Formats: sequence, structure tokens, C-alpha cells
Amino acid sequence: MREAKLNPNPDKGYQQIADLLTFLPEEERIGRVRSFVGAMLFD
Amino acid sequence: MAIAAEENKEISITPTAELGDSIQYSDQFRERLDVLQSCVAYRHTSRVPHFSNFFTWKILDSDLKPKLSEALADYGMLDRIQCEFQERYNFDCHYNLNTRNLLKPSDVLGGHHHHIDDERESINFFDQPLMEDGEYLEYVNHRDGMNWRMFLRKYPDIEAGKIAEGIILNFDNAKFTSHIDEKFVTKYGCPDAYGPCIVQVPYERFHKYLRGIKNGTLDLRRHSAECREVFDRIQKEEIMPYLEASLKKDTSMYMNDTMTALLAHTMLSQKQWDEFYWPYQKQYFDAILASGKNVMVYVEDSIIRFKEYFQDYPKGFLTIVPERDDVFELREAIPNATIVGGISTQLLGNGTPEECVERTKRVIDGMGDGFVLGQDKMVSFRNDCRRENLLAVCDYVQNFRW
Repeated sequence: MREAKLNPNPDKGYQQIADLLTFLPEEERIGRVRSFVGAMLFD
Repeated sequence: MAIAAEENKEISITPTAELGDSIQYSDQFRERLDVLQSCVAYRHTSRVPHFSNFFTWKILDSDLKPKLSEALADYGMLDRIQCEFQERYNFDCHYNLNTRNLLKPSDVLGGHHHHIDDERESINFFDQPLMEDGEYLEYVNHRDGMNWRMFLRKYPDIEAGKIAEGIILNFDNAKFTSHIDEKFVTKYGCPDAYGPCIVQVPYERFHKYLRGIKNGTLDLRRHSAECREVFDRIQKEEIMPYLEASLKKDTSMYMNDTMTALLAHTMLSQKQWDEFYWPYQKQYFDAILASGKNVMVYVEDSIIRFKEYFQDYPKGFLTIVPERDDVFELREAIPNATIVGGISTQLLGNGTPEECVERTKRVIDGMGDGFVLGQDKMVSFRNDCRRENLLAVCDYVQNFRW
């Protein structure tokens, strides 16, 4: 398995993406990222 | 949304959207709902409803004649194809409304786990383990961390911006799913097959996605104690709380209240079924039954070898949508279950219209109450069905009255 470019620390990695979701209220961003990451494992 | 709901949604099934309170139900919708729910309840009906288990074939049948890759990347086209299908065949209920294989988010992430083959008109999914040997406990103890680790394994070259783009595309998928679902209720009067309550036993996610079929089955032998511990934790901490909450929802406007899909049982021995599958499945059935609701059981391959596990439930509780099992044999094996099926793709794809109508007559006469006419698998490939055969079946069943 290849190593990824994003921060392998989940908290930092999720935050990296959440910071880009400026179209969402701040309190929703991390939850959206976590939910999306979980969902894409089953896609 | 709870983790369980989110994950079960993605395991293999696109859920039906929750219907809003403001929906005005037409007389046609109410008539269909009454007939479908009566069949589920094993009550006598004046006619036999027709259930669509059609998937990718709808795209191939369309007069728009798109390539699979074109249609799957275009919500407008998927909408038109689904409507065209309904206007041509007029089904009472659909298992899927062209909401499966919405691959845009995966594509933008650079996912190569699906391959749409336009030449062979097929979609292939690769069995690739995301979780390594020995990570089961990590999965239940540190879910966020493990999910992130597996996500980076799945999309090793991904950048944050692409993930943000994928999240936006995922919103579009959800919007399309809600839109087409509501359209089929309001415009076409078709009730959804099941309410917003979908459960699968913990092993299914490892078998199909996280460990893959080969590793998943090996794990049950090599790491049986660990698997059992992890499955118990997932069941207790995630799935049962989700199920209990979902059972409180109003599901009176759906054909079935809840849904479960059995896929991985096909690879299990009797002993493995008894240890790793049935105890979890039984817990769902018992909770659903205790709440006064019913369940649609979507089954891959055959279930008859496990027939005795299903025989004690009361009529009106189980609605089985079988794949390989002949409906007459299944009726004999599990006589208490309503059954959806009866018309094989072998016949729809290779027979004549007359042969298809003859089979339709035979299954309707032979099955009697507790039966919904349907197909014997997810109809996906061009040769699974010929348009004139399906039209002949539709014409017969729509004009049939007891």
C-alpha cells in the first residue's frame, strides 16, 4: 500500500479538509469530513 | 446522522429518502401502497403488484442510447432514463431509482476501484482490502483514525482540495436521490420499497469492503475470537442503537418498514453462519418484530440452505427478495414469507413474449397470496432482458385480476 500525501494524523488531516469547507457553518465542517471519509470506504 | 446509518447506507444499498410531511399522495399511490402492503401482510388482493429489480439495464434499454459512463456522470440523464423506464413499463414499486453507482465523488478522488466498461456494458468493482491483518480491534477502538488510514490507502495521491470537491459532489448525489425519490412518489405514484431503516450484520462490511472477500473469510478462521469481539462491539455500540432509533420513525407510507440485505452468507459454512452471521441477524429480526414492523430481506444467491432459521416468524413479517432461489421452492422452504420474484432474467433475455407470459401466469396462479411479481436478480446487463418480453409481462400483470 502506498503512503498518502495528506497528514496521516486523523485530527490534523480532517482539519486540513474542514478548513476548505468555507461554504458550511464552521461547526458542521469536521462532521461532514468524517462522515464523507467513512462513507467513501463503502463506495 | 449516526455512523451506522451513514455506513450502512454505503455498504451496498442506496437508501430511500425520508419523505417530507408536505407530500400529497395521489389515489394511484394509495392504491399501490394498499396492494403492496396487503401482499406483504399476506392478505388477499385483487391484483398482483409488479416490483422492479432493474438496475443498469434501464440505461441500456433507454431510447437515449447513452454509454454507461455518460449516463452515470449525468444526473439529468439518469432522471430522464428512470422516468422513461416507468412511462414504458409502469411498475408499482422500484427497488432502485437509478441512484446506485453515483460515482462522481469517487472519480474526483481518483478512485480506481470501479471500472465502467462501455464496450462490455458493465461496471466492475475490485476486491481490494483497505484494512490490514490485525487491525480489527483498532477499527472498533479508534474508528476515526482507522477510517482516515484506510481512506488514505484507498486514495493515496489525494489532495485536500479534491476531497472538498468530493464532499460537494456527494451533496449533489444526495440531492439527486431525494429528488428522484420524491418524483416517483408524487408524479408516478410509486411507493418506496422500504423505509429509512437499513441494517446489515457487522461481517458484511469487512467481507465486501474493508477486508475483501478472500481476507474476510480467512479472518473468520484465523482470527475468530477477535472477529467475534469486534462484531459484538459494532452490533452493540453502533447498529442496535441505530436500529432502535430508526424503528421509532413513521414508515407507514412504504411497502416494507425496514430492509436488510444478505450477501456474505454465500461464502460461509454452517458453523460460520451460526457463529458470525445469524446471531446478529436474529437480533435485528427480533427487534423489528417486537416493534410491530416488518422487514424486506434482499438475498444474494440462495438462502434455502438456511431455511429453518426463517420459518418461525409470523406471516406478514418477512418479505424475501431472492436471487437464485426458485420462488416455488422458496415458498415450500419458507412458507411464512412473502416472496418477490418469479420471472428469471434467463427467460426475459432469451425467451419469447409468449413464454414470458406463460411463466407469469404460472407463478401468479401457483404462488397465490403473499406474492409480488419481480425478477430473479438485479437486472444489469443488456442480455438480461429484451424489451418486448418485459412489455408482454407488464401488459399481462397490469390487466390481471383475481
